Amino acid sequence: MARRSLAPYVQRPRGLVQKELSVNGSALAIRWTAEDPVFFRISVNAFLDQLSLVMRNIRGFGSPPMRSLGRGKRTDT
Amino acid sequence: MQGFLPGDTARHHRAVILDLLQEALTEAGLTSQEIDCIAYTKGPGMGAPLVSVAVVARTVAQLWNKPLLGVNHCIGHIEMGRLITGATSPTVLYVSGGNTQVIAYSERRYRIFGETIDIAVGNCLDRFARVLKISNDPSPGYNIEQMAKRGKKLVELPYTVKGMDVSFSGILSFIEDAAQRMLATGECTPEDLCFSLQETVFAMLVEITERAMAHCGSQEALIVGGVGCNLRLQEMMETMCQERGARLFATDERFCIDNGAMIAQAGWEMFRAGHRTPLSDSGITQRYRTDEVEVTWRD
Repeated sequence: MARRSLAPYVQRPRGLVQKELSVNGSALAIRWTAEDPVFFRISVNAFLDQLSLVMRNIRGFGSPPMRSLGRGKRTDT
Repeated sequence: MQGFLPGDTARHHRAVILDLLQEALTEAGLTSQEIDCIAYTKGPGMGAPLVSVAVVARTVAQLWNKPLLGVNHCIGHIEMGRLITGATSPTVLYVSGGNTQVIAYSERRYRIFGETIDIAVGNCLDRFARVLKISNDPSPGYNIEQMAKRGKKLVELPYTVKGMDVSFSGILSFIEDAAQRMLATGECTPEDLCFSLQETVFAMLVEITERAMAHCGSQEALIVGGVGCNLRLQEMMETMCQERGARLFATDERFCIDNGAMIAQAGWEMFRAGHRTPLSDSGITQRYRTDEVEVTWRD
C-alpha cells in the first residue's frame, strides 16, 4: 500500500536523482541513483518525510471504521 | 516579509492533514464506509504541498477502497462559484495569487479566453505590498484594499492589455522603481498608490472580461479566486455588467479563497459523471491548465 501511495511521487523525473520502489514481502525497498551527494541527501530527506506521513496515515486510519458522534448524524439506537 | 514557501507549506500540511481528516469525519458524524470518493488537488500549484496531500489521498483511497479523483484547482473554484451563486453558464474571471484567467465553458471544456502573460494579479498585489512594506496580516491584498479606500489621487500606472490577455509585470517594475521616489517627494501617499494600483489592474481585468462576454454573448459573469473577495473589483465588474444588461455573481471570503470544499465539489461533479483517477495516474502536476480537463458533467 505504501508503495502504491508513493509510486507516483517517485516516478516523477527529478533530474540527477532516480528512485525505484519495490516490495519484498512486508519490506518496502527504495533504490536511489544519484551523481550529486547534495541532491541525494535532499531526495532522501524528502522521501522519508512522505514515507513517515504514509505510515502515520496507515496506522491512524487503517483500523475498521467506528461510528462517531458529530453534528451531521446521530447514532442508530 | 515573503510569500508562501513550498517547503514550509508542505511541512505544515504534513503536520496537520491527518488530524484535519479525522476532525472532518468526526464533525460530519461519518465513517469511512459512508464516504463516496476521495477528491484531492492534482494541480496546478506548488509541488511539495501538493505531493503531501496526494499521498494521503492515495493512502485513504486504498485503506477505504474508495475511488480517487484528481481535481484541477481552477475548476474547483469555478464549480464552487457556480454552486454557491447559482450562476448557470457565466464568463468566469478567476483571479488569485497564482492565476489570472478569463474562462468560459464551451464544448466540454473550460476554455481560457484570456489570461495573464506573466504574473497573476494577486502576485502583483502581494509584491506591491512588499515594496511598500504593507503588512501581511491578515493578507497583503486585504490591506491594500483598505488603504485604497483612503487614496485620493490617481497616479498613472502602466495599463497593459494585449487583446484578450493582460500583463502585470510592467506595473510591478514601475512601482519597484518609482514608489520610494514618489513617496519621498510627497508626490503621492501610500494610500494613493494602493488606490491607483487597484483602479488600474482591476480596469484591465474588467476590460478582458467584458471582451470575453461580448465574444460569447454571455449575460453572466462570475468572479472566483482570492482576489475576487475585493469589493472594489466586484464594484467595477458590477458596473460593467449593468452597462451590458448582464448579471454579476460573486462570493465572499469563505468561498473565494482556496478551500477544500471546492475540491470536494468539483470532485463530486466528476464522480457523478463517471470520472476516476487510477493510482498510476494520480501524480500531481504543478502546471495543469484549466482547459486540459474534459468537463463531462455539464451539457
